[in-house]
Amino acid sequence: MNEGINLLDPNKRKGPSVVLARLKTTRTLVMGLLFIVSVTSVILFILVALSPLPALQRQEATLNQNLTLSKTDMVKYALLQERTTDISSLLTKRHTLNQTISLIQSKLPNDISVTALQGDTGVLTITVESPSLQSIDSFLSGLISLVQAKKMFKQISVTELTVDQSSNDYLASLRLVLL
Amino acid sequence: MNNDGWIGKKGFRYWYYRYRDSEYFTLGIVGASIVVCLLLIFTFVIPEISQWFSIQTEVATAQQRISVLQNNINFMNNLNKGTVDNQLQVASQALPPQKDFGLILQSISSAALTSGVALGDYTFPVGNITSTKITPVSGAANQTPGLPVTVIITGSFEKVKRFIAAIENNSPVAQVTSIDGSGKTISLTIEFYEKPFPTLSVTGDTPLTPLSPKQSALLEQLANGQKTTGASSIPQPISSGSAIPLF
Repeated sequence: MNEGINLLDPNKRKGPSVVLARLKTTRTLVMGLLFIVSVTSVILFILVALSPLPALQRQEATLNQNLTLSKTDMVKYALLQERTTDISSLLTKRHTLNQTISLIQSKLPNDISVTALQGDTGVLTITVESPSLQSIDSFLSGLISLVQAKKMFKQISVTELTVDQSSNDYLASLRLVLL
Repeated sequence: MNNDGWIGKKGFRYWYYRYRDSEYFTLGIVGASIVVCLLLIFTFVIPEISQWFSIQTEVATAQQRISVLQNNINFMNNLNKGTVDNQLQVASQALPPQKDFGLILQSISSAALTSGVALGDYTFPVGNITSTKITPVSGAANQTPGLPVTVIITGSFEKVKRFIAAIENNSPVAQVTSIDGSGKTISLTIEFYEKPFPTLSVTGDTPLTPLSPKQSALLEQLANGQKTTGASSIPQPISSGSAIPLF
């Protein structure tokens, strides 16, 4: 008579016990996985919610506002840096005739004088006068040594060598190609 | 007799007790759990992880910007504004933002005075006067056009050399581009550089660095040069529109 009012399935636990045990294990594993995923979700949510980013953004805004007071000085300073960089670059790139002349002068013997100077940033023509050919030769040798040392000049050529009959002086015109 | 002896409506409780211990129930739980897991992973976990990483990157960037801002504030607080003004004036006279004939004439006169040469005629192209209203340009695209000035000087070779040296060391920055002469009269073409102020976008998070020793030395050298020429006492003209009396 009890069978008539039994609420439970009379066919329960009729499957192989191994399958049921495996199913139970699987169910436990899956429930564990669900738990882990849920906990991870909550942790991530808390991490994102408690991020220091809004506070940092507020701090940045405040600092930016403070710095705005010095904006004019910052522009001046930036201009100063820009100017000095430009000037420095110009000074490095420019070719100074003063150095070239100083170098030529350093090779000039005492009895030689410069009578003419002509040229630009690429080529310089210099005319020297001396009573001694030997001095002119010495001057030339000095300039040749500069060309060999690749210092300032790339090429030197004597364009003219004349004698002034009235003064007995030698005139030499030299063409110097600058590096 | 029927085994399913259930009296009343077959509701949730009936089905629960009916299949609670069967494999279908377990399979259903497993399936539902997997579905919930997948939903959570794809709709919540992955976006949150991605957001967290992006927040971390933003936090790092914000911290870096804050550090730069704080350094900039400290730098600006410690900066001597008067010195910067003076240095900017020195630099602007060395490389004027526009044609500055007053400075050029001052430089030539000073060089002639210190070298001992006699100044002859000198000429320079004034050009388009209205062009002095310069449109600021940015970057290196605008490369310092020079204003060529031709000067005739009279003096010994040594004095001419000193004149060239003085011109090249004085302010504004100049370069002797050509020389032509014989005897004691020499014609020089000098190019005086100018460069308009660029349009600078100064933002607070751009790190400010102090002037390098090289730059400081350069400014000092320029300031000394200007003291020699007296260029610093010249008020800067706004326009070069006036006719320049040539000697």
